[in-house]
Amino acid sequence: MKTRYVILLAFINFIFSSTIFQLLRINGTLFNTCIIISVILAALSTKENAIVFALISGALQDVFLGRILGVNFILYGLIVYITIRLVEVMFKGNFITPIFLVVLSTFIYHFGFYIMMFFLQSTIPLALLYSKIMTEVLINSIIGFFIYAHTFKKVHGYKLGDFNA
Amino acid sequence: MENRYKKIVLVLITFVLLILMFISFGGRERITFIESKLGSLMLPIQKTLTSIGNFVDEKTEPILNVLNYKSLNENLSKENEMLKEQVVTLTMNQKELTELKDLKLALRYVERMDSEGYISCNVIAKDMGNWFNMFTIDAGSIQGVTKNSTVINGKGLVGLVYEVGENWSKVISIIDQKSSVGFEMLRVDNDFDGILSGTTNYELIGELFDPKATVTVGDYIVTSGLGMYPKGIMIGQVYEVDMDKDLILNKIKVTPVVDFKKINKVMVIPYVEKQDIPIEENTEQIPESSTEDDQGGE
Repeated sequence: MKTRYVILLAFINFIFSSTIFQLLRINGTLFNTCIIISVILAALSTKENAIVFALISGALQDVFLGRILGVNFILYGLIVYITIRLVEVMFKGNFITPIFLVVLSTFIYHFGFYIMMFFLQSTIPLALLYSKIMTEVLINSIIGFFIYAHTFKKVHGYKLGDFNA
Repeated sequence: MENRYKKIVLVLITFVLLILMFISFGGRERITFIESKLGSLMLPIQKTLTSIGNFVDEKTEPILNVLNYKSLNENLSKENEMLKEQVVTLTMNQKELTELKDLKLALRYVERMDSEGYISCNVIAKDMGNWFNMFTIDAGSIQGVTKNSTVINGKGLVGLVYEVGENWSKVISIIDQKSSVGFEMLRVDNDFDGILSGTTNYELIGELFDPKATVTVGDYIVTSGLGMYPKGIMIGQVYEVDMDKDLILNKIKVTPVVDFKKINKVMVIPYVEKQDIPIEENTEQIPESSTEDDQGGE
């Protein structure tokens, strides 16, 4: 995948997430496509593509819809870094892999956000966000699994979990 | 060698980002040229997609809410009866107000805050995350929006402008956990003051400054004029009152009058810093008897 397509993907994702996807909020919770796509690119595409996507998405979110510059930029970068390290030792063709990666990344994102907001004296008690975070983890993992499975088949030519291939 | 170089770059980037975070904390007075132009470029696409989304939402809402219509009808009938009673009281008050306005004109009373030049605009993008509650509108410095301008819609208070671009602005809604609004009760007398802040689930919680304040469920609250928001904008209706025994304060929970899940069109009241009118100048224009009359009218 060429870098310019990754940049375009980041812009399209930002525009859709901030507009049309808002209709799909469940109990006020919206799934995070930035995390999902970052993880999938880190696992199934190149490191560079994943980093470019994560950093552009983070910057767009910080500039146009964030309170403090740099928070999402750092967090998405961190998620990609951790995913790249993990997929080096993980079997990408397993059903559990995408779910594990997306769930872990979503938790890292929220925990990181909490820590940063704590130091910037802007934090919200995690207890208040507990249900929202859990809903996001669940929806992210479901959506992430299907996109990962589809992309995996495109990249490797066989189905995810097809151990006879 | 290459690893060392990478580490230095990483440390430098982290350092720059930390500086950026501290600079942007609390909102910037001005945003960069690139951010402003990029926002303007994306604006038409976001505007189109948001209108499509709103159209779909509008069309599908009746189907999704078909089961709630019976209870909604009953509530509306009750509210209608209550409003009829209020109309009678308000007509009487209006008569009194007209008399007071005439009196004000006769005395050439100086207005301190006059909210003119409302800017109508659309919500074009909403926060992608679940932590805060921010959105972007399609009006910026060109249209006359300034930082800390008040954002309202037909129903009541929506929020405050956080950062301003060329023809777009970032807004923090009042239901954002970190926003705070000074309020007073919408009453003829005993209009106790307090402060409200947002929660994560589209409601507001607040405290009244007066420990002896009496609040009842169903009371309406409006902005008190303390802080950035102009006085008298409808905020919401009290639905729960708790007494905090430790702080000896009345805590209230408020349902905002604005439906933040379906917010599409808003108006901006540009922020004007309050300038103190010299007391001497003011008293020259108002005879002593007028102050007594005003107090009597209230």
